[in-house]
Amino acid sequence: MSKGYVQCLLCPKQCVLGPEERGDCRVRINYQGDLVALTYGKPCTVHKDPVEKKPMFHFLPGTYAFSLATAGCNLHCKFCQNWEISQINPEDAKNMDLNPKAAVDYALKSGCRSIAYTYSDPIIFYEYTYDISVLARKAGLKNILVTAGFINEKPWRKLCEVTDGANIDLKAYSEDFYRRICNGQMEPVLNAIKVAVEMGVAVEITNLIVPTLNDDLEMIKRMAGWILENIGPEYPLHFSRFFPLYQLRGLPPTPSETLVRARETALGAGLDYVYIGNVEVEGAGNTYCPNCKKTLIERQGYQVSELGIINGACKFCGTQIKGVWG
Amino acid sequence: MEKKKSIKRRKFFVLIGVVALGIGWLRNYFKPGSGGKSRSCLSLHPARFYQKLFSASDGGKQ
Repeated sequence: MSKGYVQCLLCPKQCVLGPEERGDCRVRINYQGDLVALTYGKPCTVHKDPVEKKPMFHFLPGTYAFSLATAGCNLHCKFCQNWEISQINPEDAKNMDLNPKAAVDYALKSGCRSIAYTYSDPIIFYEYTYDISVLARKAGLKNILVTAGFINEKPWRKLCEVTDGANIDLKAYSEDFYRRICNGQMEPVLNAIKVAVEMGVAVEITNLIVPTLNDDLEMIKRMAGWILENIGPEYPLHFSRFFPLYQLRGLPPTPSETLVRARETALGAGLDYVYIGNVEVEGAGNTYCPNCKKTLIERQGYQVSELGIINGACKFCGTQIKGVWG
Repeated sequence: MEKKKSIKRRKFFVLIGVVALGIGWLRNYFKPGSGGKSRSCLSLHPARFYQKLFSASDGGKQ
């Protein structure tokens, strides 16, 4: 190995970079023998979103999250729903200048209760996410990561210290799927889920169901079984509808019936809160008390119309409902 | 007389068109990050979690 090489230890790809070379994520580069982040303070997308859009259903329902992203990603899922920003070089995006303090100020001014690091993957803009998160906490805002969780344990633990909620994408319960379709690995993601729960982060899991690729009910049953066994039934699972984008334009959108069957399978396996996203299926976006089965939160799209949770518990029977409610 | 007026009008519109195209081109040329090659839209912020690698003669990994 010649002098001047660096190895990025942020994600399990652990890219070895020669002079001026970029990592697989496109945004971390060996610049004069040091690793630098090209997108620090340069988001390409900034929005004020309902927190339900992340989706985070057990996290300050009915509030807004100041949401931002930079270009790039360390995975290359063929079905990526945000590929226009995640699968491009940062210099090909329209970036703005937004330092961490300005991001927090905007979030406060716009009446948001949280900041969401989302759309692409906050792991690749790690330093930016971390620095904003520290300031956001001081300003009384919560931090939400929307991530694939493909990260090494050490940096993940450090990030979890300043994170309140995380929606972690579990793309399939299949190592083969991760390798063939996403150019990644599943084990680090499972580990990231366990570590986040262990560190007290309010975790929700999303599984985007792609027709013919990961819609096998047996696989979904195994995924639910893993969640049950490793973190518990009280962590919400979202089944999300796929739309034909990026490299899988030849496939149809996920039929509603597939999502309904997946939800029934996960509920049957013992999970307490299973939702369907990206499509309206009556009742599938509501939160029900796992004990008395009464409706606690009613959702129409991103609209929250009822809150039956008082002090983190069902107002009808007093059962504790996992989440961040106030 | 009428023909002269018509030519003048045509010249005027051609001029307006050329000026509009010129402004459009200039705006595009100076737009930050346009053409995808400008690095001014990037930062060089120190990243965390990496190690420097050296050749064996340099004493191996740092």
